[in-house]
Amino acid sequence: MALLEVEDLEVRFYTEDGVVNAVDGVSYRIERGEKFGVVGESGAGKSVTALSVMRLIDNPGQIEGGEIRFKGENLLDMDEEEIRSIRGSEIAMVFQDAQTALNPVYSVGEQIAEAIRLHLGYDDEAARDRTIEMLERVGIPDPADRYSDYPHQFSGGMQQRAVIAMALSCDPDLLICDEPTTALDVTIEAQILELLDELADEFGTAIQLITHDLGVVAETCDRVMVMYAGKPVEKAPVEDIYYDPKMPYTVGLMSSIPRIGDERDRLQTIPGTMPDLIQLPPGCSFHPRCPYAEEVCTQIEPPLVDPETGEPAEGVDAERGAACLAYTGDLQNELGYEVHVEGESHRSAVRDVEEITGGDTDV
Amino acid sequence: MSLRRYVIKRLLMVIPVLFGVSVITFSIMQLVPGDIVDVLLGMDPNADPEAAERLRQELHLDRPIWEQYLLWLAGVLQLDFGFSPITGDVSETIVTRLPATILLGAMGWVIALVLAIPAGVYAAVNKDELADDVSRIAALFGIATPNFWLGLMLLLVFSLWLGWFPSIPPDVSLLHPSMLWYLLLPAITLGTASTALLMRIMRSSMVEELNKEYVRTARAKGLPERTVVLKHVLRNSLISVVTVAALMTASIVDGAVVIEVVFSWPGLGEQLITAIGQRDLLVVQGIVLLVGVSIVIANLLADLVYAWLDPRIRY
Ligand SMILES: Nc1ncnc2c1ncn2[C@@H]1O[C@H](COP(=O)(O)OP(=O)(O)OP(=O)(O)O)[C@@H](O)[C@H]1O
Ligand code: SF4
Ligand SMILES: [Mg+2]
Repeated sequence: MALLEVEDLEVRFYTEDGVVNAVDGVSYRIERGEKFGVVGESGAGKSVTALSVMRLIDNPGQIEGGEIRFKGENLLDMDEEEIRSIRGSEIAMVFQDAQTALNPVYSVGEQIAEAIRLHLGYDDEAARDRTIEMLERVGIPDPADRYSDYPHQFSGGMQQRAVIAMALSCDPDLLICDEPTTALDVTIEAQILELLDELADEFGTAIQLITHDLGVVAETCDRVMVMYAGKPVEKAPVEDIYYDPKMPYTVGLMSSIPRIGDERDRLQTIPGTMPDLIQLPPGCSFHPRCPYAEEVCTQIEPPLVDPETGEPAEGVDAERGAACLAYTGDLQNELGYEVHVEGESHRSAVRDVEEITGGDTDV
Repeated sequence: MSLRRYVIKRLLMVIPVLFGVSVITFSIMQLVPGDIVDVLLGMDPNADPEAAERLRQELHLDRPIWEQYLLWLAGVLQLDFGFSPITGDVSETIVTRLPATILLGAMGWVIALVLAIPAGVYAAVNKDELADDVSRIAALFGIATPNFWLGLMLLLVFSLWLGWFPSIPPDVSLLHPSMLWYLLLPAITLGTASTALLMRIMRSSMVEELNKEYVRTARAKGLPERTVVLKHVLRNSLISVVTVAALMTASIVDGAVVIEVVFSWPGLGEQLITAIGQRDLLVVQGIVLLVGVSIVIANLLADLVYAWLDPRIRY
């Protein structure tokens, strides 16, 4: 049994402008100790997926369908009490912006110790000791002195370290990191990712790492899910995503990774923006931006299938899947891109990967 | 900056403000049209010329104005507010009246806070639900109802019709139970006047705080909702409530004046109205000064509470 199995998750937000299909039919699984990446542009539904796993979707949001099984038990069936005993103790979360994630009026130490007292039943002193130990573990100098500091006395990097200490303080089995480094500058980003990687290995914690940045995923994760407009559009082991991406959107994401050593501004982004989730375009929701789109892409919604065999790959256990009509036999032309990989492994060569040679059909 | 340095700095800032208050209070006397001594003597043409001369001496009217001010200030600092030809020693008048007003004000405050904070929290947590709408309507009524009218209505219903309360204060000492019982109606009148506004501020500040990221972090830790709201959110929300509460001290004070008259409560407010009617200017001056100082002190206290609530202020 996998640690986490998300099956056919559907989350909607009932806003004044209409119903937002924030997450629509997402399935994936995370094994114990595994590092799983979730990638996609802003608004793809990554955070909503993560918050669903924590059962922290607020009004006007609603989890409308699917199952989230953690160690075999459906979190969506649990009452508030049960889910609270899992939050922070078995599944913990690191948020995007540590500065706003910490409460400004309580000391950093107290905010960590609070979780320890709650879940591990430690008394004040034992919780304090463990907090200091955790602060030390995440690389905060003079942890005993910094215990009573307030968040505003910490630098951005240190705040994120403190949040990581908080998340790991009760030794969770799954750590969900929602863009943990977006708010930090590049050198700190690398340090924090390394720290997460190291601690996850040490504590045997599985990670669900959410990011915009495929480069980050390559350095950290084992398997990846790419999301677009609330749906999974490609799932694959991380090597495959690098050497052999199958979905044009993934290819676009890859080419937007800047190349190291290239003086010219090669940061190509995918032209256009993600569609409005209230009114998705018919057919493949990526078609308005896809260089290979054909007439049929506006009519048929591509299912997630195994790109080799064309077999359905929507299930929790599917290792490899891509949602593009090229793999269902509906597309007339071939997807006209090639991937050039330089360097020895995807981990060292990630930022020097690939190129679109261009599609020959335009819509 | 440590908390101690913050407190010291804040205390020092009070000095120029108090100076301003004293200058303004002092000038009340100067702004009175006509001869101040005549006014003080009640514009009585048959007044004793000797008394007039004594007053002139006492107020140092023969000296330049800044000397008059300094001499007056020196007296005030020793709690000597002068001698009124109408009511005698002003300090004594104030001292006998002050405890009743402090008691009324304190009880009004407690009632305001005890009603407003829980109601505001409850409305915020149940935002846009029935409880929130009810509290909104109640607040509208509260804000729209004049103090004196509410006071009169309470008197009418609970004292005259139902007979639960006497309609004038019993003639016993201030802390006697039957006096405290009598005080309940005026204190409710005074307190509820501030409740409505305080509750709305509490609610909106809490609604705003509930949307902040740290709330999500607190929930993600697995904390019960009660702890999230009463520990994490409440403290942050109180920061803006305290500011408003301090500003409202002024309205509590002028509320107290009206209410004391309505309920014949033997406090400074009632004395102030009497003094104004009698043109007993020295008493007016003394009370106005006291009000000014107490508002300054209330704001000082608010700032200290503020610093205690929010570490970002004190560091
Ligand atoms: N509280 C909310 N109310 C209304 N709509 C929401 C709410 N939260 C999320 N959404 C909608 O759900 C969609 C998915 O949002 P989500 O936050 O999951 O995106 P994301 O992939 O995490 O993007 P980002 O990279 O910007 O964090 C968005 O279109 C957003 O508008
Ligand atoms: S289905 Fe069509 S539009 Fe969608 S990704 Fe494939 S080619 Fe592009
Ligand atoms: Mg997000």
